[in-house]
Amino acid sequence: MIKKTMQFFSALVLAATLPTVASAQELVDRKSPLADAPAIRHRVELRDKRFEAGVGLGSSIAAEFYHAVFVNLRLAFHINDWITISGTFGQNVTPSLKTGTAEQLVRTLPDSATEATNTNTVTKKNALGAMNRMGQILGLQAELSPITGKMALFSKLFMHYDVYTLGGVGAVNFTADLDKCAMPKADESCPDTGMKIGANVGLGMHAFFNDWLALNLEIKDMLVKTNRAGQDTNGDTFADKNDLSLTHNLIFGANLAFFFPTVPKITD
Amino acid sequence: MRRLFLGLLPFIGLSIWASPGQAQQAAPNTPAKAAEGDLANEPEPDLSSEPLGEDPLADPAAKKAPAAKPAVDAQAKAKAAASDIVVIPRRSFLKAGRLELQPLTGVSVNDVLIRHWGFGGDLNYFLSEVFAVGLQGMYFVKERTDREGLVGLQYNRIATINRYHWTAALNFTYLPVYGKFSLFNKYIMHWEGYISGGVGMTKTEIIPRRSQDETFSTNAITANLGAGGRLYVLDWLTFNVGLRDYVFNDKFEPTSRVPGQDIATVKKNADDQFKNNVMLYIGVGLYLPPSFNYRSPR
Repeated sequence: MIKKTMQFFSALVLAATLPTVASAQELVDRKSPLADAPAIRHRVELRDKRFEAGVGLGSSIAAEFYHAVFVNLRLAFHINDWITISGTFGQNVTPSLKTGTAEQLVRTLPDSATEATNTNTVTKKNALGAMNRMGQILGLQAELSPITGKMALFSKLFMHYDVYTLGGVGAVNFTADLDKCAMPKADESCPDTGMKIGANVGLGMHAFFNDWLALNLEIKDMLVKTNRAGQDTNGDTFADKNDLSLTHNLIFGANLAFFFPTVPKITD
Repeated sequence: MRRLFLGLLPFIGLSIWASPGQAQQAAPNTPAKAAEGDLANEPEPDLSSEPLGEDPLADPAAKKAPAAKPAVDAQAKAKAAASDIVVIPRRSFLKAGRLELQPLTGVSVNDVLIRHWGFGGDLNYFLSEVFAVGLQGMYFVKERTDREGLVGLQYNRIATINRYHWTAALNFTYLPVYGKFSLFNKYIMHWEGYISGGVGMTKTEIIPRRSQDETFSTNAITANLGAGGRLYVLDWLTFNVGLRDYVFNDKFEPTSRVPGQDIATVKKNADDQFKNNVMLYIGVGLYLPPSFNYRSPR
């Protein structure tokens, strides 16, 4: 009787212990739920499949003869979180804003050819008139945003941001005051004007005030061939297409960018 | 027999109790892991949601059944308590009381006639995490631009330009911006932004329009204002980038200078002009002591 009772209780103890062992085994075999989890959960997709429309101001940097202040328009579509195609347009609203270099240079030039001590010296009017300036700028580019993050200003204002590089086609429409050549022996019109197509590279960032409004800062270089002074550069005494050279046209822009749809997706 | 039964009863009870007990031990894994994720992810933890998804071991019947009111109240209390816990990741880099030695190099970006390459260093002492006081010195190497060369060819003129020899300044730095970013959503890096200003001296020298003419130098009191950022790489190393405008009153060779004129007279007749020398520079910050300790445990 005692033996049977012992067997019964032994079986009962074993049955009660078994689930414990099984549960521990399950825990050992169980894969961590975070094993393949994304680096960031509940991430606000501020760019993915959203349109961006921006408007703002821009300025030339280290211009040689004419500063340019632009009114900018920017349209972009963010294909995913880190690839974007965009188009930009800028209209120069300060076409007569000369640089200090241009002003100092022109100050030393004679008013008329008769005043010139050397026949090769251009007059003030001809020198200024042949210098070209950016009238309009256009860009069509792809953007890559490898850097996305968050920052705190004064430990109070928190903003999402991204940093992108851009590259694509750029075009600059140059204008000048003169429509004919200021050089004495020219066989073509010296002021180098008209639409010049080249490359467009740069860096930019968005700092988001909220889910649909951001400050867009951009610095880009429009690389086009031109002759800024409209004068001879290769020493053959006249200005023509052989005097064109690749120039860097650095432009800084600050835009307010609106994102559509206004409510972004949030990841799992 | 009865004694044997009574003797085994506690053991049976203990064995049966052990199963749910062990299962309960597994549960804390969930919030702990979620907190880990939140630290990396940085947004505030949303403890009201189920961060790990549905528990495959949970009883579906229990999930479907409407929860009893007391249970809901308890859950709400737990949520409220959890929402009081804010996860704040520690600063990844501490600077207070440390010295930064920064070799740097830069280039002027605003003068179309002459370019200056700068080589020098910064020595900053951090009074706190956001304030620093420092000394800066830079030696300049000049490079005439293509435009400067073309002025003679195109306009029959020689540009009046100065070269810079060196600059030194006492600067004060404030760091209002702190940020982090993920590179391709993989690597998380921390950085900071600063604004800085100071006062110092710049030595300049005229480049005479006639190369055989004598030159004179000017030591100009210089104010500077800059902004930049530091990317933390190691406990003792940062990558720095900055843009700084040095403003000073410079003296240029007078246009009225005649050959053979006494240099003192030339300097007396010099044309004064406020100049901006905007330098873009990069550097590496080396920190002493090379390591730091947090004051509170993690």
